[in-house]
Formats: sequence, C-alpha cells, structure tokens
Amino acid sequence: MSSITLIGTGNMARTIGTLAVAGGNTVEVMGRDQSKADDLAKALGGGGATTGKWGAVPAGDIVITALLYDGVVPVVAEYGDALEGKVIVDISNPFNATFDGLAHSEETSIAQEVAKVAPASASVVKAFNTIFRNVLEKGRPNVFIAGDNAQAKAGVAAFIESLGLRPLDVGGLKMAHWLEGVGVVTMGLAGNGVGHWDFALGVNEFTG
Amino acid sequence: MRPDNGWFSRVLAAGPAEGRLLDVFIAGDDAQAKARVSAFIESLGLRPMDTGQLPMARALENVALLQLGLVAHSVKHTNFFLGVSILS
Repeated sequence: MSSITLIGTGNMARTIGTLAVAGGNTVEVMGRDQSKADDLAKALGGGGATTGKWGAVPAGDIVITALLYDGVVPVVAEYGDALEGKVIVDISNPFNATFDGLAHSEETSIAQEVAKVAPASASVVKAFNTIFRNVLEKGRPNVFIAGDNAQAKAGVAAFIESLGLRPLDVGGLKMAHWLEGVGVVTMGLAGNGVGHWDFALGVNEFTG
Repeated sequence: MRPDNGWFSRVLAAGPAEGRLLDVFIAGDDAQAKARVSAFIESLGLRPMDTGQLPMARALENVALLQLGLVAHSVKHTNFFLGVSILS
C-alpha cells in the first residue's frame, strides 16, 4: 500500500485517484480551488481520500502532479521545500499545437525540468503519460516509468502494481524525453491508423 | 516515408506473437506512398499502423529508444515488440 497525494483535480486526477483508492492506497487531493479538491476527495470515496491545503506539505510519499503540462514546473516551483524528500510523478504530455511533436524544441522533458526546480532531496519519476484516460479507466495497459532514483522507481512501481497494472522501467530520467515522444505517437495513431482512443501501446512478448 | 526503424531483426523474423501480427508504425506526407508501403507491409504478414505526417518520424525514433530502454531495464530480453492493444 502506498500513500499518494494528487496535485490537481481534473480528469486524470479523478481516474488515478479512483484506481488508487480501489487498490487500497491512502489518497490525498490538493487543488488550487479547495472546493474542487473537496468534491474530488468525496467522489473518490472509500474512506481513503482526504484533502490537503494547496502548497502545504503533501501527506503522500508519492506526489502525482495531475496537471496540464505547462502547469507542472510552475506548481512544483511554487510548492518548493514542501516537496522535500517526496517522489514526484509527472504524468504530463507537452504536445505542440498540431499534436505531431513536442512543445519544447530542445531535447528535454517536463519531468527533467521538474527535477531542476524540485528540492534536491526529492526524486522525479515520469509515468502514465502514454496512456489515454479512458484506457486507464477500462483497460489494463502497461505503464512505462523513467527516473534516476531506483528506490523512488521501486515505490512508484509498487503503486502501479496496486492498481492492477504492469509497470515497465525504461531507464533514467532523460528517457522521459522519449516517453513524451511516445505520447505524441499515440496521438498520431489515434488520429490516423487506429482512428479512435480505445487502445494503448504495450509490450507484446513471445517465446524466442 | 519512414517505417519504424526500432525493430529487432529477430522479432521481425519470428512472425506473429501469441497470434498477434507485429505492428509496423509508418509516417509520411504522401497518402499514395503510404498506401503502397502499407500494402507491402501487409504482404509480409505484418500490420501497418499509420501515425500521421512525416514530422511524426521524429517521435517514431523515440519509440525505438524506448524499446532499448525496456530491454535494458525491465523486459530484459529482445523477444517482444511494442504494439497497439485495442480495448475489447
């Protein structure tokens, strides 16, 4: 069982929060709009969800920033020292305006930029960004994770397993750049070859 | 046209995995060219998956690196492919 805090009250916070409560985890919700945080915590139910004050030290060891990509770095910077020792999970997708590339031109990622503004004692893990919300709700997709701290990744992997999903480590935090690129590919598939949102990219193993 | 270059030759040679056709991601600006490449891919017994226009080629190269990361950190072998799983 993990103790997690969701920063954000949107659809992804709701979906991950619902799975987290069902998986027996302790869940805290933080929103800039306290009433939205209260509503979401109530909706998650299960007696497992509480709310915390925006900007305060999160109760969870794992802090998931369920925010639009351009909000993640500013919010982590705003929380500042409140995130000391925390595992910060960035789930965002920095798509460009045409959804066929990344919003940042340099070879970086939101997760790497988060690591630059987070306290030195915090660890950053990229996860969940390659999965459409509806697939997370209804399916059993693989969850790719990237990060530099093995212990932090092990904690996030255990949390993902509690959701009934398979975590797959893809390497260090710089791999977050490539995971964000994979998010772009899923958008391209949805708009072209697949033609809908009810799919996920995953590992298909066979006997060699 | 840019068919996915992130493949392991053994995977390509192994054919369907658990009854599933291997997915080949393609990107390109010319619909006719993509249709011809798709037909060729199908003739190999593989499933072409259009990801969009040529700028997607850059993101497809990311998928290739993701596969290498999976080999090194979690899957620990090369007998797999990244594919599209559609919700049933």
